[in-house]
Amino acid sequence: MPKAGRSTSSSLPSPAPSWSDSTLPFQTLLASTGSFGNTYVPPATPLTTQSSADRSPGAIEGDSLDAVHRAGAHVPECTHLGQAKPSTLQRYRTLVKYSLFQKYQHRFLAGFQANQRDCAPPKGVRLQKLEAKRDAILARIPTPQCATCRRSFGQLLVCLHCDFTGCWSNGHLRAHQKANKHYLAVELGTLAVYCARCRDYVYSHPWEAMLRQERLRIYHRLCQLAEPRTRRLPLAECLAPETNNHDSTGADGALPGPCDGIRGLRNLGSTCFMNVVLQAFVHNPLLRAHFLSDPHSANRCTREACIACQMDQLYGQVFSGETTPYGPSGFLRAMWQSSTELAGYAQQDAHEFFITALNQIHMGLCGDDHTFNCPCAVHQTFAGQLQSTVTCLSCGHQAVANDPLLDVSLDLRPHTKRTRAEPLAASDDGPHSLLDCLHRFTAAESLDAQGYMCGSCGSACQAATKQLLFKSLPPVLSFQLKRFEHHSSASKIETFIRVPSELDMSPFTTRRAAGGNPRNAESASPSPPHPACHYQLFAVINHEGTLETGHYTMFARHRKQWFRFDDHLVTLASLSDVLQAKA
Amino acid sequence: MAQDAVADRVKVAVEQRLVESGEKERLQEILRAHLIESGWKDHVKAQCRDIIRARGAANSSVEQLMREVAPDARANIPENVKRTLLTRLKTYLMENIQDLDATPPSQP
Repeated sequence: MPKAGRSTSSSLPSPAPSWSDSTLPFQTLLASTGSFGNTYVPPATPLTTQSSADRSPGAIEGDSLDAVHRAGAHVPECTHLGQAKPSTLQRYRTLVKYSLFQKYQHRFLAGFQANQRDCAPPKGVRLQKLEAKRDAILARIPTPQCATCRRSFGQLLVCLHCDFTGCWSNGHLRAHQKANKHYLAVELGTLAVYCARCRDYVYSHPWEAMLRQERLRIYHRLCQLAEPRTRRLPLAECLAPETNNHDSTGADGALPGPCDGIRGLRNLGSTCFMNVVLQAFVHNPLLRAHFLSDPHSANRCTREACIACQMDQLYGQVFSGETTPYGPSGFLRAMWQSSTELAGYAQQDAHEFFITALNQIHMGLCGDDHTFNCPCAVHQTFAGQLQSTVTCLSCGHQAVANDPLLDVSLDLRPHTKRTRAEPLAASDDGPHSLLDCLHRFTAAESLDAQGYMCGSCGSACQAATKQLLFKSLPPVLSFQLKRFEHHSSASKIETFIRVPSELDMSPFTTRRAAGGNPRNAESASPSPPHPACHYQLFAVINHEGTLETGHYTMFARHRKQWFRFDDHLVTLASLSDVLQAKA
Repeated sequence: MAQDAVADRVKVAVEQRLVESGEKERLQEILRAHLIESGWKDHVKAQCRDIIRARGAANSSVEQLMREVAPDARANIPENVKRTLLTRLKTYLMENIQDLDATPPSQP
């Protein structure tokens, strides 16, 4: 069983050392964006998945899960690759190293340059030296070119049997393969292996493992360059378990239980708001890794109505292998006991529950109210910092304040007046995508003249602007879209907001804002995306209905497969279902 | 004919310059960001997944998938993304083209 099953069962109990936990390609540091909101109206049409339409009762059952497994297992390893000589694999490794370095050489140099710039004021001499160094490296590393038409664009493949490089679009590589009976070639951009005998791109576990190692290695170097002062696990530690893992699962084909980690939750009477949030917790890779490593046990805990105990129990139940829906009644009771406003059978707001639950879990783990730089799982996962900068327009003085954040609430109302400072801001009729919302969130807004008194020039009634930026990003970022409006009468904003499956947060951080002068900011020369700012979507919570009454459902990703959770009902979903969940 | 050959040589030289200066990677990065932001990438990805799922992974090949998805995907690239990239490419070439010679690059 290839990738889909490997990662979860055996490697879980490590408390998520940043990127070795990620099963994703190397560019994701912490592979998670929690998109959170009391927001979406799910698609009107039933989900278009292969096996789920008529499968109503109970949690997902064995055979539909098997379908997921089969979907991954359909394509067998390429036998030609398996029979290839060790020297061919060595050749592949060399090419991988070459290609990765070639691809990122400018980033390496740019990173180096940026560090220099941070440490010392830029000097012409130094930059010249760097440029000379770059040219030297470039001279040593040839640019790949098609041997026939000399193109260096498009898909280029290198033959693994000889030194031939050929392009795909003009068929030069395939011509070479035909003429010389060479059949294996590696594509330089994606590093996928093409097998002419299979007439397709192929894989095999040892080769994949090697590729992963090399990618981790180069990723490690990129991270090191981007944040030289950050402490990381040594590379060897990250590489070692990965390979062991391959061997153990590859050898006897051991599979994790089919339903591990997928279990419906019973609705205990208008508790869908709780169920969706609990499912989001269950599928949060960091929280999952934390609670499955058994840090908090009900036997040792003395607290009354401890939510952390209930979380522990919840994970235990979800990963027990049982397929019948689970009723989180203990959790509900503990919530009722610990927070009075959520008690009762009324419908609640999932976001309020989310915040309350986070605080309660924190209390359960740490036992105090201290939240700054807290080492508990909740704050390690969700806590970031916002920096709000107030600039006085008359004297230019900047007042900076930092605020902790657990989640980000994004406004959806159409702007009444556009701000001049942010040309990228959304169109006038309100935002249409999460990025629009974020641009608006981080745009400079002008403050009311009366409300602000400059601390530097001391004059009240001055015009000033205020800007919010992310000072530090949490590993898991949670957004809430404020769909409920409370004016004279409360209403729900039904605009469809597009959520990307991948998100680069670097434009919204203080690092980017400080590094870029105005010219840079207009994407004249954007610095390469920072690896730590790259997020992947793993959960979306939808709300259908009105302000007073409605129903919550959610989508979550589990082992690269999306599922739709509707209380006890769990069905397969596709990425397009998730992204189209809209009004 | 001779003009074509010169044009080809220029094209090759320009491409090589773009790759070596790292401009190609930067352009790629911008393109990637734009396509993700506009939802294009997710759309194409979902389309590919749906095709493979419908047909079964054993019966799908890259070439076939490309043939089916590419025309649609190409047509769906948002106009402003094309414009942004083209402008940037032009600017870069205008700034860097002066010293570009169209002689055939030496064999490595």
